[in-house]
Amino acid sequence: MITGAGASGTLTADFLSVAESCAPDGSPKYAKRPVMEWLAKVIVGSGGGANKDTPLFELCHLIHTVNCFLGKADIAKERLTFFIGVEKASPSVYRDWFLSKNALSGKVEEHITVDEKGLNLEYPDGKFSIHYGRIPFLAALHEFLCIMDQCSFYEQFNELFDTLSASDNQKCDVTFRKIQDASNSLSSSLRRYRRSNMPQAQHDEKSGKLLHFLKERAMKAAEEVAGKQGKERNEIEAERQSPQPLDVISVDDKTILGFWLTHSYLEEFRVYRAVFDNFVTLIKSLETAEVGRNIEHASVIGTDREKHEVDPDDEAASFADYGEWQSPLEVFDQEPAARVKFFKQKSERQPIELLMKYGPYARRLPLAFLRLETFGQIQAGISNDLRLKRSQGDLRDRMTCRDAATYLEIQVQLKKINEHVRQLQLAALYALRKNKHQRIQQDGNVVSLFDDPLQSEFDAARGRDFSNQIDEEELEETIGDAQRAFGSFTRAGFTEEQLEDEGHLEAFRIGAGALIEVGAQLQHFLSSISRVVRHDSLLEEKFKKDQEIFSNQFHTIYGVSP
Amino acid sequence: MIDFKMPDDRELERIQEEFSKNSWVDILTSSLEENRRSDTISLSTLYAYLTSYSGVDEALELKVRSSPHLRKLYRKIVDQTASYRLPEAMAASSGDFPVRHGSGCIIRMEASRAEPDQIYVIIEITGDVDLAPTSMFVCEEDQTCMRFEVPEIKDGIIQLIFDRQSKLVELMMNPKTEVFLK
Amino acid sequence: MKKFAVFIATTGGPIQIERLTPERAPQSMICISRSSKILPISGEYDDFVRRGSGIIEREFGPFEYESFRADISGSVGTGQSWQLPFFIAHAIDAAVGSELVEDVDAADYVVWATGRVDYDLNILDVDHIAEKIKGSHSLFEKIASGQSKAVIAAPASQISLLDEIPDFGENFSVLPAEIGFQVCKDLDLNLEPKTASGNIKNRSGKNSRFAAAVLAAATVIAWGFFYFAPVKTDVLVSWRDRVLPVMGLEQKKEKSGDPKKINTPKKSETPKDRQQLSKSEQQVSQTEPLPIGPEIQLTAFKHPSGGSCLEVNFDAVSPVKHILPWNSGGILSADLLDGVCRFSFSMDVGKKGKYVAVWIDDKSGRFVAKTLSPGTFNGLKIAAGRQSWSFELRRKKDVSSNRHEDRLAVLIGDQPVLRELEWLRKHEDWSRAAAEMGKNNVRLLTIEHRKNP
Repeated sequence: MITGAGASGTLTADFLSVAESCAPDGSPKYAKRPVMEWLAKVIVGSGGGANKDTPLFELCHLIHTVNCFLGKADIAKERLTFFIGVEKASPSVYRDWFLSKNALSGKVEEHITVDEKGLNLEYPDGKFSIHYGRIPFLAALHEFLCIMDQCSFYEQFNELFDTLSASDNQKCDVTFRKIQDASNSLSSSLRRYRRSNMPQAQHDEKSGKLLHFLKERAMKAAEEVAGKQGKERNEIEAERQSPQPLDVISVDDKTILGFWLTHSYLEEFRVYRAVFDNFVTLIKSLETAEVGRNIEHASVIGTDREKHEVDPDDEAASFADYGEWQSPLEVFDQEPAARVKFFKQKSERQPIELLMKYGPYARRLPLAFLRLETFGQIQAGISNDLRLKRSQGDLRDRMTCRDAATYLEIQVQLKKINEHVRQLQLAALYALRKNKHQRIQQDGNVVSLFDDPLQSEFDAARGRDFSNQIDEEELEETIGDAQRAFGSFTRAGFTEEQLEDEGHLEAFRIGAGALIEVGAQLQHFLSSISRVVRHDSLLEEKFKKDQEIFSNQFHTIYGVSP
Repeated sequence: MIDFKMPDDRELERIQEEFSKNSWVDILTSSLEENRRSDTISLSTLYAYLTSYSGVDEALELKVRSSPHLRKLYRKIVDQTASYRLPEAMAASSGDFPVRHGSGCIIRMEASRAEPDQIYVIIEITGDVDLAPTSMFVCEEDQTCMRFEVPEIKDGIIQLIFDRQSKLVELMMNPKTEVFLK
Repeated sequence: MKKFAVFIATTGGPIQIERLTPERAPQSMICISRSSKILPISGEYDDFVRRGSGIIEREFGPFEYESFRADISGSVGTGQSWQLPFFIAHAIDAAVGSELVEDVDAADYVVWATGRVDYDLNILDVDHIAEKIKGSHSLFEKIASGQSKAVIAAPASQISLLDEIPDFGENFSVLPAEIGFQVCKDLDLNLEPKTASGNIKNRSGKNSRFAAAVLAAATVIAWGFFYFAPVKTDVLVSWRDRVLPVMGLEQKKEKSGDPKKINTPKKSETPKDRQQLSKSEQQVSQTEPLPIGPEIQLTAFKHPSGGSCLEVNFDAVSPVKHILPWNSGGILSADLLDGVCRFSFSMDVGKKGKYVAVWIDDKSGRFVAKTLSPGTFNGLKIAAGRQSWSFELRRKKDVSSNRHEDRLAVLIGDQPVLRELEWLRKHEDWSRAAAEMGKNNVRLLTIEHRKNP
């Protein structure tokens, strides 16, 4: 239960109250992903793209459109019904609403067009479009704005929303400018709310510690290098005391482990997973800062670090990765992909859940991630044992990490799942190819599963040759494999009859895209491990060392003698 | 290994700001995963409760009463969605019961002859009976509202009986309270 | 003061009707034992009480207050078998010299009842009587061990089911309930109007009137039965009677006793066919009417000025008797029929005794003839000498304007005539029917009635 203690309690309580809105069947009104996750970002001010207030701007346009379709007499009540009275916030619900309103009343306002895809608004001084797919997000945002800070903004916002409608003489006097002004007003209130309920201080301390640690390590590394290079200590000392920061900080597997080992006496860093998460958050923040800097000062591609040249090598994240990473597994939880049982929960999905969550961060920090996977679970078990007041004997037993999955076991499991994913990809290929209406690229016999081929523009710019030509014989063989793969699955969604249904094919279409991403992540991660530890025996050795380290640290943290 | 250029002070501020935001996002999204319950009530939940025929939810009513803002919101939604509104009654002389008049509706009270400590609350719908109410909300001056379910309408009349000491009678005896029917 | 405790028979055990209180509220309600808990059947109870949909206010009203609050000792589920006990309770409450009490030990009579009561006060069948009896054993035992007398009332058609009740002795009696008035009479309730202590309150604001109109069916050869509309006094009612004596029987009659004078019409022996005559052509007898024949006499009972038919029907006041005249024109002004509550038909079947059956073939739907039929007129019992009975015929609320004939048949025979009656019910042509019956020495007397426009 969120007790509301402190400012963060208010924020979390307000957020959760929106998340708890349910449809009559008990399912969430707003989808956890992506709607609520998007809302979380908007609330804290990190969503919206270039301008974090864009969602508020969108919302104001939507409110204006809704107002135009409502009766003037009871506009507040009817607007409430539209935003709050809807039981399930899905694009189709809103589409049906607008289409039926439009059909009943005709063109209410000259400047609004309603079609199958969305709403188009033409103001005297600007244009705007809203796709129905956006409306669930905006509805969640509307609800949050109404409820935030115990509804203290509710009346104020409603009065503002009332102004976004045509005046009594029926001629619409709402302009683009007026929408912007309304949006700014919302933004100002939201900023006030953030200041009150999102104190930065508690996170500044955390980020400060992380950065300080990184700096210290960088300096130590530089010391070692300098020492090897025979530089005098006093120069190093001088450099150390220099206000000029060192040039580069690195985050790697050792850093994370080292930080945890030295800081786990602190409550907020006791849990290894929390440390890993904090470093991922820091990396995201550094990346954001770097993107901003790079935009201002484009880096030169090269290998000379001293000249601040950047080398986007094969292992480097694609430029596309600097965007918001989302687990591809979320796709399988929603319609239409949910109707096909792509993954069994325990044996196929659960083992890759974390990997897909962290995505590119996991493969850039493979050992740190492996530690998370195995010892993170052990530590979760220890916390549980403490909460349930288990015996000291049980605690000690768990702290030996005897039952921890070894890195080799994890690797084997991931390889197995990778193969399963490949089979799923083939099955999807078969399903889509069976459909007579699939599209074939003009210049080749490549079956495209999406509108655009799966490669980033950066990759293309770097000249990676992506051949569109596949050998006919190979293709035949692949098709044969695909059919066999499809036939090998006896789980829900894999019958020939179901492939006659367009909705079912759509499930495969969408699922296929996610499967490619899942496969890619798996492949990259497995490659990352291989790069770090070239032989299985070394991997096993690594595990044994980590096992000892973690076991000792657990004993230290929890005050239990071995 | 992931390398970054060492941030300067200006960049550090920005990084810390980003870090804070990202941390908050993590806190919020992990709260979804943990299936934690909020102490407050969502607007959708409140709206659905006030516009449905689900009966009185005592736990929800208690939560609303404990928050001035939720009370205000509750009252606002009731007001906005009511079929009948009966504002303050004319003050009754001693011994009499206030009579409330609204558009299409009158509410009066009568003491039972059989049990003088029991009071009939008689709702007469004089307007369109297609809007037969199923719930009655009585709201005090401090925005606190209480919900009561009403039986089926019969020949334009809804009749209830309550103890004189009951909360409803206490509220109805106060001419300052407002009544909403829906 | 006779004290009654009344129980509703339910499968969950008997529920006592503790108290009935007139209330100012518009709707009648049933509460549990003085609490504010209202039972779900309150809506049906309100319908049962209210004039127009129910019978209580119509039969025992008008009341000073708008509604009743009934306090009962427990919950009563769905169904309508509570109606009879409530009817009885209201009758007790309305009657003079009796009261409803809560203390069972103090009651002179404990009434245990189950049954539905329709708009015409007929008592109709209900379910689960056996379970109800079973559930009431402890009450019965308690009564048996006390001083009170128990009356077990159930629909007459289901009375045999009450055999399940063990024999608790002479203080237990069974009341086969056929019609409301009969039940009240059997309970010896004195239904006089109570003094109203204020203005008569009526939901509609109009003066209440008795809704029942009377249509009497004559059972005698020479008399017709009259249809009268309470409102329209200028409607002339014509009747035609047709006497179809069987020859053999009449001859016997002449032989057996002093020949009785038969007052035959002067102008014509057969009455006119259906004719519409103006008022001026009405012939109203001012002198002592002579019965058409020795056997039959028709008497109308009117309420005295200021009284009501209810009082007459419940024997609360003495009615004013009018022996209706008959003449050859067969026309009577409807004026004569104003205020008639009940008809009495007396028939002298002779010393020897005859079997008599009476049946009303109601085609018009204008009335529902319900007789307090004595057992002597069901064709199975001997009736000797002058037998008389009276009955009230209610007119249905929805009065149609059709021209269908209503007929009344009287069968008289030396042997039981039930079989002939059953046969007659299936045959439309009564002239032929009479001839057929004559072969079995059964005399058929018929009277037809049609309302003229």
